Amino acid sequence: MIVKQIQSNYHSYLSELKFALDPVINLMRSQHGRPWRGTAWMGPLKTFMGYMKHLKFIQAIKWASLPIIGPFLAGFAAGVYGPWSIWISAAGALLIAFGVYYLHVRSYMGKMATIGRPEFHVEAFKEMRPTEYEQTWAQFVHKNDFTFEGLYDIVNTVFSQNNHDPSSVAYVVAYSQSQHDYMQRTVEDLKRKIEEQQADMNSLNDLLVESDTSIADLVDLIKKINQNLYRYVNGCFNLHDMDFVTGFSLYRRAGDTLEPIMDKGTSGNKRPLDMKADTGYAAVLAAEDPQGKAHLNAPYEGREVIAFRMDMLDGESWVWCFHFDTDDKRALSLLKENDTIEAREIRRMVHAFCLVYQKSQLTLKEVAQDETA
Amino acid sequence: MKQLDELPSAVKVLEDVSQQSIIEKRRKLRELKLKQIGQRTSLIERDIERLAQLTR
Repeated sequence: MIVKQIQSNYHSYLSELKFALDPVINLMRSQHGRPWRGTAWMGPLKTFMGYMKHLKFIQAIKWASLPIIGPFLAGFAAGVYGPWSIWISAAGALLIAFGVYYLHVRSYMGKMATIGRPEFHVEAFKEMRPTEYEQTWAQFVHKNDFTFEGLYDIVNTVFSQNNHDPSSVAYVVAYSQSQHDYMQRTVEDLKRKIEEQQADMNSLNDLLVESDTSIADLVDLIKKINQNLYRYVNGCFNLHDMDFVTGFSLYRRAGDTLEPIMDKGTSGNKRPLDMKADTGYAAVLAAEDPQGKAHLNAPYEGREVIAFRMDMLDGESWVWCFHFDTDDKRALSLLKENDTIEAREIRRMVHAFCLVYQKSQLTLKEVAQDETA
Repeated sequence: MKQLDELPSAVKVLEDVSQQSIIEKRRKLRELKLKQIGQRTSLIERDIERLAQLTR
C-alpha cells in the first residue's frame, strides 16, 4: 500500500518536473560559457527592427507630403534650436539617442536574466543574480548527465511491478515478504517442535517415574516376602499373609468341583465352582489348563480376576485367583502388564509360598497323626 | 457397583513375557525417546541458526 502511494505521488511529481525544468536546464547548459553582452547590446536593435517590420503606418506615410511637412519641421527646429551650434546639437542628439538605447539595453538584460523569457541567457542570469544561480541552478548546469526525465525513468524502473527485476521495489518487497513468510513458518515450526520436544521429555520423565515406581513396587514385594519368611520361621505364617500382591481367593480341585479354601480382600461371596457348569469363570478354565497359564476375566466393571493353577504336594491341584481393581496400577504392573517383572515370576512366588504353607500343614498333620498313633 | 458374579465376562488367556523382553522393551522405548529428542534438538538448532542468519 505504502509503495503504491509513493509510486503514484513521485511519478506524478517527477512527470511534472521533467517538463518544467529539463528544458531550462538544457538551455542553461547550452548557453553556459557563451558571450552574452553582444546579444544584450544588439537585442534592442533587433527588437526595434522587428517592430519596424510590423509597423505598417510607416508605409502609410505620404512621402509626397514631405515637401510640405519638411519645411514646417525644419522651420520649427530652426526656431527652437536655432541659437545652438550645429555641433552641440549633433552631440546632444547622439547623447540622448545613446542614453535611450542604453536604457533599452538594461531592460533587455533584465529580460535575459529572467527564466522563461525568450531572451534568457544563463550567463546574464549568472551576472545579474549570482547568488540565486550558485545556490540552485549551478548544481544542475555542472552535472551534465542529470535530467529529471532520467530520474523519472529510474524511479519508474524502481517502482515497477516487475517481480523478476532485482532492481525494482516490487522485487525487493516480494523478496522481503517471502523472507518474512519463511521466518514466520520457521517460528511456527519451531514452536511445534518445542512442544513435541516437551512432550517427549515429559514422556521420558514418565519412563523414569515408572522405573522408580517399579523399583518401589519390587522393594515392597521383597519386604513382604521377608516378612512372610520370618513369620514362617516363627511358626505363625498362614494363608492370610499371602495378600502381599493383591486380595485373593484360593480353591482346591476336588473332582469336577473347585472347593474354596479361603479368600481375602474379595466380596466374600464364595461358593464351590462346578467345572462343567461354571465355564465362564477364569478359575475353572485355569484349573483345566494343562500348561498352567493365567486366565483373566472381569466379574464386574472395574474389577478383574487373574487365575492360575498350581500343582501341589500329594497330587493336589489348587487354583489361585488374584482380585484387583482395574485402576490398581501396582497390581496391573505386577500381574498383567508385564512392565515391571515377568508376571509368571509373581505366580511362581505365590506357588512357592503355597507349597511352603501346604508342606507345613502336612508336616503338622503327620506330627499329629504320629502323636495319635 | 453392580455385582456381575453371575454373569462373568469372556475369559482371556494371558500370554507370558520373558524378563529379558521387558527389559528390552523398556530400553528400546528409552532409546527411541532419546533419539527423537536428539534429532529434534538438531532440527531446532538448525532452524534457530537459519533465523539468526536471516535476522543479521
